[in-house]
Amino acid sequence: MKKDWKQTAAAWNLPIPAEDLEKIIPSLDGLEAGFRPLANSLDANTESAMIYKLLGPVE
Amino acid sequence: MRTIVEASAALRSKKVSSVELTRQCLANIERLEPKLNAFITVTAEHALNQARIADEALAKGVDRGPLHGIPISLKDLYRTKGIRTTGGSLLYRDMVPDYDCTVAEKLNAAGAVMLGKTGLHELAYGVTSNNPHFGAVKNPWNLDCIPGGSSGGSGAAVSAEMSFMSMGSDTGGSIRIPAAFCGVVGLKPTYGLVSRYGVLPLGSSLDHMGPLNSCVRDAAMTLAAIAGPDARDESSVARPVESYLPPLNISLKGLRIGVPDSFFTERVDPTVMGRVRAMVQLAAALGGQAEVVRVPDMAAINLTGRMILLAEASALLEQHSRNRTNFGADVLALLDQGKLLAATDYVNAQRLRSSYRRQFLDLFQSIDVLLTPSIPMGAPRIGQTKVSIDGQEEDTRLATTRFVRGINVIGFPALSMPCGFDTGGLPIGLQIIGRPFEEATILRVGAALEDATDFHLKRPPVL
Repeated sequence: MKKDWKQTAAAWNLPIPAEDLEKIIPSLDGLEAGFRPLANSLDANTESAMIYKLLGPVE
Repeated sequence: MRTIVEASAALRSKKVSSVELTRQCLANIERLEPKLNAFITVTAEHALNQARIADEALAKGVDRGPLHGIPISLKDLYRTKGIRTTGGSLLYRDMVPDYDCTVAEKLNAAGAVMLGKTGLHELAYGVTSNNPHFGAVKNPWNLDCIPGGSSGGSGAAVSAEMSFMSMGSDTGGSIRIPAAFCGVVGLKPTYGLVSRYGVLPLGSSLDHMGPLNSCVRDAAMTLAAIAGPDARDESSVARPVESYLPPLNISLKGLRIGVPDSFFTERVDPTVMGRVRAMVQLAAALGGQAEVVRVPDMAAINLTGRMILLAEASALLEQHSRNRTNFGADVLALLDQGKLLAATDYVNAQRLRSSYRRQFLDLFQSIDVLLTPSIPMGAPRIGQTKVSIDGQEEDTRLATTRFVRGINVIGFPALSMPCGFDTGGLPIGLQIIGRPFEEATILRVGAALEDATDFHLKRPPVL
């Protein structure tokens, strides 16, 4: 199902003028179409590249 | 004299002084700046003072290394104490930092002479350096063309001999793109090797600091001066600084050269592909063992990189982006896109990134370097939003970043070096990718190829 970017912008109260929003929708649609299958392919053991590491001595 | 190698030797043999080198660069800046718009701020007086100090020190026997007395410049993203740092943005138009970023500190300690701050794409968020607030930077090889970006001023300044070296930053190709388009060398070091502290960030997990130079050995000398651990940068890696300088008479015997069988060979200008294949053959003739390899899914890696950058940049600039008049139209469009992405997608993009990094580490078990085109085509014209490559039309930004962005996602080191010219006489770049922290290897390969060719010696028509 296609994402409704206009609804998202309204729900998140983002002050993006309608004309500007219209221009970025094709790019967002393209990103979504390419990214969703990749995200869905992840297995539970794949950890983020950004892992918090506690540095220094632990007291 | 246009390389640090030459200038450094001439300084030590007293054939030239740092003041003379600095005056030579300032004269080139004065003559060419009206055509190129490579600088946002020129610090002539500051540079001449530093040059005098460098000459006095050398006369007393104090030698701070290869960059001592060498005139250089910094992309206007690097905070410099007492010197305006704009980021190419209205947000920082009048910002005068009260401290130096780590790279500026290190370059000062190395005795380099700072000529000024170079122009860039607004906030380093784009590939054209067509800046709505500070004007378009022009390509020294064709003034109607972009120099690439975001470090476009640095590429133009080195190419037009205004500066012996210029620091750039690379979040999705922003060092390698201007290097390729301007016919110079650009080095994106491994993530964590060069401190990001004090440089205006764009996508913190993708931002890499590195130099643009006239030759590969200059890049090696610069890297030795700027690399090293820094407690002020959370991503800095505790590794000792090596001597990255390639030797003379390099053999590539035993070196395993990966040649992609896909992605990097698709939708490429035939002249560009021909030049890259010629460089692979040259590397093989120098003793390297070329083998065709299957690369990980680069299109997926690029998508993941776009997701990460959109989210990180919009988060970083959120407090400023409420005032839409602060930004040019292209940057604003990217900031808006980032705000519409879900946090879950950003986290999943970072999870995918782990998996791609592992795939690349696996690939590099059977090769030492990967050779690809830096960019699929020569520099587009200023204002050109679509390019046609081998009969197919493509968005200029996506085409320009297609072969470089993914390497920021995995954080591996990559070098772009001149490898020829397209049918319009514009420079073509070869990208050499290596294993993490194996900058010495990619620099050795680059120097071997450079020693056997003369593309880096060609001078742009603007000179």
